[in-house]
Amino acid sequence: MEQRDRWATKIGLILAMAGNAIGLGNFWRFPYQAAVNGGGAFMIPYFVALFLLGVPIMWAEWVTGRYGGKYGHGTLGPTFYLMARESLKPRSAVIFGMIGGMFAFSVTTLLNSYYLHIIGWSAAYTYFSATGAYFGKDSVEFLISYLSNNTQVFLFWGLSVALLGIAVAQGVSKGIERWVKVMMPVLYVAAILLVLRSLTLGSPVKPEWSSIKGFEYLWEPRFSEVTFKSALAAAGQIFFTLSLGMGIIQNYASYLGPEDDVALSGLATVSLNEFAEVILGGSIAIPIAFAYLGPEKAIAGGVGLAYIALPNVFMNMPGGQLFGAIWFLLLWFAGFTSAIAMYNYLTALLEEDLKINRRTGAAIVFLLYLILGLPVVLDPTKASLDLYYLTELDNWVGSYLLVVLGLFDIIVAVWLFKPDNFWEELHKGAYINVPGWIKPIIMYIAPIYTIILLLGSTWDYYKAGYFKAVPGYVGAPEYANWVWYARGMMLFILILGAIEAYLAIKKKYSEELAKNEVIVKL
Amino acid sequence: MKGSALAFMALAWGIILIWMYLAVSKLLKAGQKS
Repeated sequence: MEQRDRWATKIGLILAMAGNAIGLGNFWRFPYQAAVNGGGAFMIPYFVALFLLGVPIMWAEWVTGRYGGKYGHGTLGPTFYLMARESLKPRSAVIFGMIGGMFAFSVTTLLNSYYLHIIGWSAAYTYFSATGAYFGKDSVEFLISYLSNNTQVFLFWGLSVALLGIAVAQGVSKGIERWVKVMMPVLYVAAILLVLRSLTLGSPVKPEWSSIKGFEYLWEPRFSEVTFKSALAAAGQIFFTLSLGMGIIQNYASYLGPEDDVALSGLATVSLNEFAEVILGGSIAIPIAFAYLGPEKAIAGGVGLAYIALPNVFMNMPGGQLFGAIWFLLLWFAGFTSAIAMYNYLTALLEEDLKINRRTGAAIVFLLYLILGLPVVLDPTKASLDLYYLTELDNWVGSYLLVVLGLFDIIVAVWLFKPDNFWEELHKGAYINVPGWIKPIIMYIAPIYTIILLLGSTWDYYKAGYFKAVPGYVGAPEYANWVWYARGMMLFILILGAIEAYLAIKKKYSEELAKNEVIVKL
Repeated sequence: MKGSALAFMALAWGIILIWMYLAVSKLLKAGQKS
């Protein structure tokens, strides 16, 4: 078996994994979710989901990745196949390989195809903030004019994708690891600077508006708002923030040695992500916006908070150019260090399944992302910031599919691989002893929790009209064709992912499939 | 800032900071030994 690249240092691995998990959602999704779902009381369902759902699936993904890496695989198709055949005959196990490969391929291609655009926007706004380009202008109109300027969009988007391509082409230890060792400390320092700015803002507009009041709004427990719906929101946030159900934690873990620790490393990764989310993420956007815009406009999330509300703040804040640039640099780095993992997944797929060398593979993925990202540029609904194509992909690939794949993570890594094997793998080379009472949580509670989240999300999607030919969020039906373009793309990529996974498994384990019995065993 | 808000914030921050300190310091120590 050919020697695979490996993480050179423990700190490099943990920073890469933390960068993988820490993304835009830590800074623009978490504070909004907390604010509208009970404030401080939201942390009760949040921590419950973190311990009963997040940590178990994180461990399942680390174990899966390291197990696949032992056989030379960094993608989910062959890895799920290898684990599933512990309980099933190879011809049945291949079905689970196809399912895992299909979902992970879809997420890493389609989610990243629009995520890279948002990273490009962040790069652009870092520049616009530093130069004060949007100062004194209407922030909605400025964003629309930027999105309508294809030259600018291509410049910042293409630059971001090209930098990712360079980092991935250099390899895991000599590329990704070196890049994150610089980017992650910068990300934490940038976030800490913004927290300090947030805490020292005072009341710049009205006495009753201050960042401390923003903290108070975010943290005051409102128990009446903690409902089943907010519990689902907390569980969804845990999935999203830890980058679970995407195949990328497994991909990074596949570059571990067979005896490298996963138990403590998984816990350390989660803790670094939570530090970035709850402590840093919760102390920046909403408290700062609260001081300048008051409660009605400050309680926002996503694009509305990052690219509309906050530019309005920076243009009025002393040192706004500097702090605006730091904010968008923070988003850029947070997005970049997550996107790099998705980029690497596809490059590994080309490298391992099609024997395409890493540099060529990285160049192919670069072109693939530019092609798959084109509809986001061409979508006419960007003129009203509706972005139907992007929204449809985000609703399904960026949210729903993560939970589906998370459920399969547990089914395959724990149940089909067999709970005792999983437990043994978790403890192989472990720096800590995971107490035995946690095993039933991983075996029963985590999958049941995931199923409840999946059913709850399905019901929410049904009520919101997401299953309709023209989804409920579409206000301009004449542009509903862009929703269908997204659906067509999803179907195409799902089928392609399933076929690719099948061929990858068949290529390496054809004899096993022919005889329907396990032959290759390390 | 109200006491209840401060208490919830301190509790959440405390859990995460202690967890992070324990996990990362133990990991780095174990990494140095091996």
